[in-house]
Amino acid sequence: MRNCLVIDLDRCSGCDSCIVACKLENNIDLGNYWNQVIAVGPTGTHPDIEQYWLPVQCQQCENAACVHVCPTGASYRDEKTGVVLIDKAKCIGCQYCMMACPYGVRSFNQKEKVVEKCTLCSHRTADGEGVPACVHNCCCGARLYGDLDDPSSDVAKAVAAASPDAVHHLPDPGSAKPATVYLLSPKTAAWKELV
Amino acid sequence: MAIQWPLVIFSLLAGAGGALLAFVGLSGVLGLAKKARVPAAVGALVLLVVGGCASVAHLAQPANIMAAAANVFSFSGISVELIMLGVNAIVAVAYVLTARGESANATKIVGIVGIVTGVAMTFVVGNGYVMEAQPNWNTPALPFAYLGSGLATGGALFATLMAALKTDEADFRGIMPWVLGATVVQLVAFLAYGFAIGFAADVLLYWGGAVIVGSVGAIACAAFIAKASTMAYATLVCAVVGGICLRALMWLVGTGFLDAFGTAAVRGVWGV
Repeated sequence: MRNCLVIDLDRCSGCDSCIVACKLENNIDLGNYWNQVIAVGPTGTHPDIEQYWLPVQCQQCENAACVHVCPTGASYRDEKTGVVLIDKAKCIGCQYCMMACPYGVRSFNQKEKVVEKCTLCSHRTADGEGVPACVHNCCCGARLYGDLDDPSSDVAKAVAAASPDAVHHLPDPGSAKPATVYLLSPKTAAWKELV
Repeated sequence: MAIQWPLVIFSLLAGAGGALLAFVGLSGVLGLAKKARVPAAVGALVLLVVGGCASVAHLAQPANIMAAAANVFSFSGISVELIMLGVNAIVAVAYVLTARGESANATKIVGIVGIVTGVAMTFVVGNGYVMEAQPNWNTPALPFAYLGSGLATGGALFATLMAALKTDEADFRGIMPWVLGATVVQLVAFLAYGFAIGFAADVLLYWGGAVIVGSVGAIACAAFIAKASTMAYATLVCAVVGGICLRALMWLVGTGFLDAFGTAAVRGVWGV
């Protein structure tokens, strides 16, 4: 089971609705975020200029370094959903997982003294019915959630329908295998490898 | 990444403590500086304990160390450090106890075990940082730099204890090549780490602090320990400066593979 997000960058307008929805849904502290949207570009020379928006959050790596380095098992992969989560009761605030995350998408909650990150709204999705708040509130319909291993899921259908040259992942530092899929067709912009 | 001073202090003290224990064992094998061995073993124990306490300051709550201890066999980097802290502390206590007894062989054997565990301690305090997510840490040269730093600091500390306890001149002549060797290992390891990261580090910290003062300075001082025992103090100061600078720059070059939230926080853009 590979529950994850598929984000269609051809549709993303960079409106930040996903960020706001996430903060409201998960009651995230002021100044902290579980997802962000970063501008990639603009690049090129006028009039041939291109840019796209890249929403980033936990990439649900198949080989999650955060889980491996956690000394207490606070970072773990949920057996039922396959989602990487944090058990705050076990987190000792060593922030080792933040160092080991290749994408810098974890944050430290100064009030609770624990590390936090995107849970794919597990409180909404664990039963297999709901979708994360960022998906529900995406006004461009750019965000999809589901099991990549289930051919009937929205995410699997979207990836199957996309041209192979439009299917991307964030760059892998080695063995992380990020599960989150980004769809960006060359007609919108050329995918930048970033590293 | 910001310098995590509790971890700088932890790795410096724990590494030095491990290496000091290794030098206790080495002096036993060489038959040198008997007067300094038990005080040095006690000193190693103190360094390991104080270093361990310093690492606790890095946690959200000091009491959280109990949770880490309860999961010590998770074999994460932190767990391995905890295990080695415990093992070295036990060996140090065992050395002091056997040294009080009448069996010289037992003391020597415990000392030899201390050489192995002590050197391992210097390595593991750096090995936990080797990770894909930090390209500037993801090199075997990093734990070897920590090993070099630990050996140089521990060796200089042993020589300093010898000087403080006014051991014989012949003992200094015997231990000098080993302390000098430790400082040379540190220089080579520091240069190897610099090479691994393309020498893309703060010039003052790396070249000034870690290489010139910390390593070349330590070598220059260690070379004269046999002639003037007070040079042991200078060697120790140089090695400590080098160890702190190396560790501080490691944190500063820890820029991450892709720092998404850090980029977003400053409204940065990618791909341009």
